[in-house]
Amino acid sequence: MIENTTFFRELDIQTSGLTGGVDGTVMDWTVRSDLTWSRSLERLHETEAEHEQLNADTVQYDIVAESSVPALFGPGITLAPGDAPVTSIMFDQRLIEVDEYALTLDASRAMDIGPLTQLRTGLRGSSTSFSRRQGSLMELDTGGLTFADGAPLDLPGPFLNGLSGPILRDWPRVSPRSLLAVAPLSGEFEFNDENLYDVREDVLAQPHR
Amino acid sequence: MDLRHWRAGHPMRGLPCAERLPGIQITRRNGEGESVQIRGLSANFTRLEIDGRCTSSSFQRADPSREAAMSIFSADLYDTIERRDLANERVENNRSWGLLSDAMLADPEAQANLSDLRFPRRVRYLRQTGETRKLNLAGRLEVVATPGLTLYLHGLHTEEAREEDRSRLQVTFADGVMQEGTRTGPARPWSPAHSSAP
Repeated sequence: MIENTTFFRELDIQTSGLTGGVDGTVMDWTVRSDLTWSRSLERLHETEAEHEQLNADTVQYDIVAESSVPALFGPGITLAPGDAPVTSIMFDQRLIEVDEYALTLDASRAMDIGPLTQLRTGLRGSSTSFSRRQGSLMELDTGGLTFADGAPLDLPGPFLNGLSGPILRDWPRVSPRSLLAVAPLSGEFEFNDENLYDVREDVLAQPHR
Repeated sequence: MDLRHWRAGHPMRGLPCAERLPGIQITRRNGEGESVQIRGLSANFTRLEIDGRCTSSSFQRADPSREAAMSIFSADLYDTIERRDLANERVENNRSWGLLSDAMLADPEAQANLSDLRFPRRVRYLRQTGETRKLNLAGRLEVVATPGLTLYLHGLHTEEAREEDRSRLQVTFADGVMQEGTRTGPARPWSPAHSSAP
């Protein structure tokens, strides 16, 4: 099975947080406490176009002494771009959000009761919520679209620095977004698979250090 | 461990370049370290604090995780990375417990078995180019309420935007012969493994 795939990914990651606290001595107690809020967000958009050959024994390989990766050769990977139909085109989206609240409190004071010289106590608490949404919109019928219909990508160098064989075509070097512009996906995107969930985790503990 | 001691000899582009710290495991993207976790342990055992404030970055993951994403923090902003182990972590020869994979590769017999493997199952060629933009903002406000009591407020905001173009050729073999495949249906499930593959 041969899979020639070209991807474009956009990823935005944000994390923000605020911590407020107190550090000092209050009524003979040495106190250190803080409350933290933090929020992280990830947005991933991915566009993917693929040419897939499922049932043709058209590729062989050689073990190349200079490389740990075998060199491929054969007509299955040397198609001209116009002879390589786009067998699927896809748009993925994922959204992950993490929210957390955390509280710490440490307090101690000197004592003079027999062998007891110090009293220390404290508290840790946190509440974390994790949310994930993802979905995909895919088209298998691209209406005769080929990799010759897309705009070229500026990718560095040949595959495997040329060790991959003498005649590997560059036709996967095509922007999937340009193919998507030629053959737009039908249907509405929605977060539509089953890997969606929310997790909430609450922790309350005594300090152990 | 103080980064300044080894920064000169190991130029860094981000905090995850702290991969030379013993027991730290790094994953990379766009040529830059991305995420950090304790080697050999689940990511859920990682907790990342920036200037004492915990961050909750978890991405490229299928499930809730504490695999810390440090690539969003610029190395120039921070002087010191401190690795704190749990009190009951088992440490041998100054290396964290869990280096099982390294031990396996150092085994001559295991290496011999690998060199005899002449049937690749999946051959993948990849080319990639990308661009990353970052923004880091941090601020701290302190108020000395009384001579012995300080109130403080610390804020942090970071953003990272990436764009990646990838071209991938992948061939699947079975016993040295190209494997035939079947198209499974009109909609391939979107899986994290599919997404995270290079």
